[in-house]
Amino acid sequence: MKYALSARTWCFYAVLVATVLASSCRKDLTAIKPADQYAGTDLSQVFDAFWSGMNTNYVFWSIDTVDWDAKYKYYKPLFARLNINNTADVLRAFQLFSEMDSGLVDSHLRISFTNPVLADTAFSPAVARKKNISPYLPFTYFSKVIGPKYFDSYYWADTPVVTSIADKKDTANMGLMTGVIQKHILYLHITQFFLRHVIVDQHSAIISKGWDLFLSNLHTGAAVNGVIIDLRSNTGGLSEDMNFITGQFITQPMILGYTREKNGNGRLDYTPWANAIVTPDPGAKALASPIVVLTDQRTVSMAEHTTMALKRIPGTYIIGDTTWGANGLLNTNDGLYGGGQFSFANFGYCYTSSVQFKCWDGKIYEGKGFPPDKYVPYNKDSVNAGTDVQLTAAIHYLEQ
Amino acid sequence: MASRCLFLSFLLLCRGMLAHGQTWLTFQVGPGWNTLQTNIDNRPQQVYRHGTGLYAKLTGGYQFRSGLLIETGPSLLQKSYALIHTDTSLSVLDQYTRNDYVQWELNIGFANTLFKKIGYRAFVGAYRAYWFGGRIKGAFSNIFNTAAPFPQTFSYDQKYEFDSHRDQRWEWGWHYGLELNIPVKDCCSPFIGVRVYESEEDQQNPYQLGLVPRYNHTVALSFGLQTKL
Repeated sequence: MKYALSARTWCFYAVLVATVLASSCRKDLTAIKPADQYAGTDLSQVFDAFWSGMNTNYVFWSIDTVDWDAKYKYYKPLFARLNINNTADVLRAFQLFSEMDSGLVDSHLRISFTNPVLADTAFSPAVARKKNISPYLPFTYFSKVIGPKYFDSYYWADTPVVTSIADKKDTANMGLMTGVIQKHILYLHITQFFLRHVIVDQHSAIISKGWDLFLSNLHTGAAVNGVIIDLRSNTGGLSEDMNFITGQFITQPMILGYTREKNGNGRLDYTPWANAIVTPDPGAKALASPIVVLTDQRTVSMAEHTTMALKRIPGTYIIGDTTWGANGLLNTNDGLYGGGQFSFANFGYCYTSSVQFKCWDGKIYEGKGFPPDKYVPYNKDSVNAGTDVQLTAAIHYLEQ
Repeated sequence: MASRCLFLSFLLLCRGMLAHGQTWLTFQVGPGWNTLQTNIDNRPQQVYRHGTGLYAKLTGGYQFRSGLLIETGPSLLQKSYALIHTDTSLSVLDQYTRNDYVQWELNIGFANTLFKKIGYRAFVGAYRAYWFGGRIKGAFSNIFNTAAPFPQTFSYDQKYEFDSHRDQRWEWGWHYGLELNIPVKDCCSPFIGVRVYESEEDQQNPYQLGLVPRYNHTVALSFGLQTKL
């Protein structure tokens, strides 16, 4: 068949195609401006940079109850009224940043400022929320107070540790204490998880000695009826310690939880959950006796992960208090992961988790903390009297 | 304006129906290439690349004596894409996403012949699609598997799980295409076609401020058979 197409039909089609092409409903595809590329010449820009950086880099939007869009609508006009060259206004900006971030669930989150007026100033929502929790137990409490009172024999050491996290070097003291209680209960306390780093990278002989002593008692020593891993006031550290320490108690790789990261700009753009795995350390042996983990409200981050991992080993019992609730993982802002830390508008730096963590039981404890099996809270009077009610509860449990 | 033009085309078709025409049925299948049109320039180590998928379509149509034609029918189109982490020295963060859509198309067009032997049909129209399934396959650096060498890669190949808060599963758009056929019998002829589908609907719900939209842009090549009824 052969058809002739009239001029009118041709004309109709031409108009139709042109109309459809011209009436595209697509929205703007302009790229998001990275937070560190805002000039920061005024506080409105500073606000935009921070708000946008959180939009793309914050990893907890799937569980956070803060309405970030509402924050934009409320705080944007307030920042717009402030003058970056006026000291009082810059101080007011700090207050506004603190207010708008106070409910964010990331318990690692810390906003620090490079602006000269606010230099050395920082705000952490979790710290602000936890003003009234039990106090931090210093290492001397373990080495000087409970050591002499509860232990048959014990060893302690502490050493400066240089770490490089979040693109900056930090120096802190890491302490280790180990000993034997009532001849058959093995005890380990470390203040931070830099154990492998201190032993392998810094070659600390005094820390190595304590760790070897613990391992010797654990694997080849006299009958161990129980092990107490004391993670109270442990402020976290490097995940490489998971295999180095928890890996001593298992003989097969074990899933301790799941992690996921951002893979797009949208708040809900995530990778699937990956298995978080603890691998047995060479020389590890299955432990026949139970483990008691001591926790308090200052048990943070990697110390919480370790608590969760140990809890998965049959026979493990947690005594003490609910942990801090900072379970996200951190890394430097080198683009290794899809979210995390960022600097904004030459004004400040946002230290935030790069990776979301979910416990092996399927629950996310970020902002909530991991609960103990037996709640034994910090008791100020007992501590002042040199009596450790939490350690006592652990000893009683293992003696049963 | 677009709806007015569509209405005018409908009137024109009604007028043409007074004349004698021809009804046909086609089935076609082939590969499709989809690109996710968005902007992630703020993530310099990531880039979207096109993905391939299957295209299959069943169409019923009517052609008027004037050469004007109308066709409609369902199609299946996989709109895939890949997210690539370009700096592999740092880590891996790659994902291949296959999204399965079922579509219903309504097109108008015209038919004619080239060199008296090759028939052609040109179409323009609109479609409505539903994103009914998908699969993701990829790998990323596993921060919490500290076994040597670190970082270990976590690989996955799994069904895509929809997030009702984020995913906009309905999509509409417009498309155009061209088919060439050589009649081998009076009632049946094979053809080859190419079609372009342009989504006008963001693949994401507007669940946040500052969201950069994502639109599917698909080119499909098809081989088919047309039967006159």
